[in-house]
Amino acid sequence: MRRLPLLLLAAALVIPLLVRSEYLIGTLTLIYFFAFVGQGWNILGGYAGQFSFGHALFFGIGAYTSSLLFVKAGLTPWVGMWCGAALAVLVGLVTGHLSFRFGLRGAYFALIMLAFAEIFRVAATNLDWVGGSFGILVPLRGHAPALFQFGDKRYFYYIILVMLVAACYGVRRLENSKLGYQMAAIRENESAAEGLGVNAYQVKLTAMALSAGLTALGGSFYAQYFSYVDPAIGFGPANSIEILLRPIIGGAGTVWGPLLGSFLLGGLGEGTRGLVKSYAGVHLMIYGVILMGAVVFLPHGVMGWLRQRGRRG
Amino acid sequence: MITRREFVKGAAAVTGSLGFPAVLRAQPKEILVGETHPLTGGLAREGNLGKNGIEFAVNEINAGGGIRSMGGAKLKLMVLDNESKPPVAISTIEKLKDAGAVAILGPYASGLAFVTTQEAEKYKIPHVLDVAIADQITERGFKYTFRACPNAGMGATHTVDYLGAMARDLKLSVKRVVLIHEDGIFGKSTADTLQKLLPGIGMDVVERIPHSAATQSLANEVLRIKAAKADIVIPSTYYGPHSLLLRTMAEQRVDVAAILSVYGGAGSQYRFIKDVAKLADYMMDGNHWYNPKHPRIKGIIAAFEKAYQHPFAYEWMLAYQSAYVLKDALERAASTDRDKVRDALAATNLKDQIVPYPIAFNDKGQNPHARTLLMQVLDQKIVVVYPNEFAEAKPVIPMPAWAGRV
Amino acid sequence: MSSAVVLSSLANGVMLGGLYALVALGLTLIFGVMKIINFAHGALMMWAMYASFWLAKLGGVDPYLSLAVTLPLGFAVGYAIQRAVITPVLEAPEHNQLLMTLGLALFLENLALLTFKADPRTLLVSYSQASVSLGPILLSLPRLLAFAGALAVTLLLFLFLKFTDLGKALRAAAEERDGAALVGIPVQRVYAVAFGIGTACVTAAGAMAVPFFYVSPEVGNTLVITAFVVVVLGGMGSFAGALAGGLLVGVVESLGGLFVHGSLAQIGIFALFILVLLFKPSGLLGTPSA
Repeated sequence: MRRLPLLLLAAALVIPLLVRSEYLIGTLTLIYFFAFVGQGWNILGGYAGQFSFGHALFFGIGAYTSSLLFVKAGLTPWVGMWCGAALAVLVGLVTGHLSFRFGLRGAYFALIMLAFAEIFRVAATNLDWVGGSFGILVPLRGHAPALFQFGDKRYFYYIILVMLVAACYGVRRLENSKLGYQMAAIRENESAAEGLGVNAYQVKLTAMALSAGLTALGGSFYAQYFSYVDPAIGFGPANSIEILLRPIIGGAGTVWGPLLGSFLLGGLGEGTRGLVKSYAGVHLMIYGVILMGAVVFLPHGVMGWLRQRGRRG
Repeated sequence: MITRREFVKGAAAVTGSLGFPAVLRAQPKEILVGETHPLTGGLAREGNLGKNGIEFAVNEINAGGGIRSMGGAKLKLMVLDNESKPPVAISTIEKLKDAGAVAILGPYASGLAFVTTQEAEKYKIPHVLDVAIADQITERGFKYTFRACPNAGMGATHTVDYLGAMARDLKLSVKRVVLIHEDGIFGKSTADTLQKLLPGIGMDVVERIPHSAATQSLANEVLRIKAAKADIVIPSTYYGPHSLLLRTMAEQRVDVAAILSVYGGAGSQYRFIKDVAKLADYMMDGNHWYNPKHPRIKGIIAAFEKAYQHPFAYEWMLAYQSAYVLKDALERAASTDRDKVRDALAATNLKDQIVPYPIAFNDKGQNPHARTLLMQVLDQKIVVVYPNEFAEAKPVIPMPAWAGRV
Repeated sequence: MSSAVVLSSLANGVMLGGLYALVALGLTLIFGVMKIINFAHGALMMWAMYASFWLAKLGGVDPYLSLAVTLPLGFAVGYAIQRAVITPVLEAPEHNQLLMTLGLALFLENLALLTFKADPRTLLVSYSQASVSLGPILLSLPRLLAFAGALAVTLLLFLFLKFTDLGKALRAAAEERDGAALVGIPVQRVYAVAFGIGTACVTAAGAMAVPFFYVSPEVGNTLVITAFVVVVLGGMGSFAGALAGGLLVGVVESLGGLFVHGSLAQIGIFALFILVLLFKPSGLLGTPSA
């Protein structure tokens, strides 16, 4: 069982070499991608217990920053994505400071993050120099690895796979670190944790910064993969929901949660598209039902359920 | 460069039927034509019209003997739903590429076309657009993108020309123009173009009013139109707000000489007349339309209506036309090689089509002869009023006051 | 900018504000009684709008008249949702409650998209273009009716809560859940009634809006965000707050739209929302509670 992650990784590494279908490579790439940004959300939402309904804020900042720097200044997105991450961390610190200093928790925190994301969305829609409601088309340079553009999808596949593995490794380390324990304490009972001497404000802010930066990196990847970003794709509530769905269904606060969730929802999405041809919107409906069901039957996601069974068995 | 089709066992979730063109044959029995349209999601109505238009054309083409230069090979459509979403649109092109499509038709919307043409260019698959008017689509140096219809800039230019001609011919004393547009790229760029061109026909843009595309209320905007004492109101916006604009102007009794849109969201559409009945009368719109003088057009419209229970709509007309453009190219290429088809498309020279202009492509892939016409709703029917060579009726301007008729 | 234009805009803002207040009322009632933030509120209103629309289109029944059918139906749907979907998470952590209503919203919206397709629908009734003149301004009759209707429903709700036994039970359960159960108030049923009434409010608002709003599956999204802003502004659980907040937001939106175009006014609304959340989360009119 312990070898499972390595086996899966080996399989993931080998698949693009064996499979010809662009569509399958593309689908897997997106699954890894959603797992990656889900992992970003997971740090703040799953581990620190602060559910944000507006994580598209950071995603959009990443996507827009790296794209704008490329379009306006010719800066390669390899560098631009870190600028985006830095900016996202900054915004995360500001919004985090405001939210946590004023004691916003639970629903209020979720909503205020949504409000921040919406402000960015409306601002992006109205500012011509970021492309307005049309957004940004990343100019195509063909196969240009130095500019984070590739003629073959397989490059993107491997890049996001590496990013995902790194993120999972980082989160695993975080889990077992002092910061991780403090985050868990806050998640379980913030007042009690404070009573034990944990500086909740600082811990939450740190979680926010890590979460924001990671999500922004995902945003930059997305912008390069699709060569396109607009205010709705970048900052929209639909995106915020997509980001949090995977870790929640898979199991918030676990390393595997976002991956499980992403494979489940991704597979389901493509499956329904294939089966129910003219009703492709069905998969979103199903996501809604799954979310409701998960909340009742799997309140700790699939991972929580697996662990429970593991304990019993 | 694709010289051998690859045999693909579709992944479990691939939709549509796969043609199996295993090896390049000189005389294939079927030619796989890919199509991506929004069949669900926000643009489903238009996407389905486009799908029907292409299906209608392909049935005609096949019934008429298919592609003669390839031994009567029939066109086989592989239709994929892009759900009105750019990322899904990209995956549809991937699937079409995997399946070996010779060319790609669709995708209706500009936002979708930006990504589908990009993917098609990456995979070197010729892509013939149906609608998708954004100017920038053909400004990226792509060699595999072809657009037979007029783009946004051309539509604005022609409409201004028609307005100018109308003002001259009818000796109208209209001068004050108010532009009202959705605040996205379509609305803004059209308004920019109009602002530049209108002084050229002696008109003043006295107010320019942007509005939020998702708005439910245009009350403030109509108040501003009233305050500006407009002669002509030119909306460039989507269906909902366009309809809302008319209803609000009627309710607030804001009378103007004409409401004349450029690519109006609710313009030149029978469903709008169905929705608002008398309110639609006298509305003018510069938009895509058929050539009323074409000998076969009445028959085509009637046959389409019979097959799909839908009256004329330019969405299906342009899709239908794009299929015929491809057919013509296939005939001349006499090959399913994507590059040969692309070269044939580039050399297109079609006349007497159901669209009111000849079709050829400049080196950007745009048809420079394309144009919009000016239509007016008269007595609940949409008729062409300009230019004179296509006019079916004389325009009624100024339009009668709201009070008397709603 | 002439005074007639400003007055007109003000009037529009007040009329729309009344509608916002009614929508917010439903939301604040649900929160006040159950402490649940109902993300599906907008989706429910959207469904109510479709119901009114189709009854009018296919059955020729005016949306105000079809309230005789849609209102009880809305109540029943709300009641059922509470029993089926909300009850399981009443004791769950707050974020799970949020996710539940979020899932419900996702489901309802996409079901509507599937069933009705995305095209905006307009309903024209005989009085759609009618207007009432008040001095220099013309008031749109459908909007005026909706305003009057919203006030009427609000008044009815107020009387119900203040004077009927069920209403008092609702208020008791809102204030002290366990205490209320101890004195024999059937708390679960009371909750379901609250959700039912909240849904009925939003059903009424939806029906009255159909003659001048266009109906599409996304119509709920913008409305629910506005409703949240109103509720937070007025104070979660505060009846008067929802009313005042609704009118305030309506007027600010309308007058703001005169001077600042379209979407920029939205930023103002969100900024206001954030400021209230930060500095006075109990709302401008709400009472600070634990």
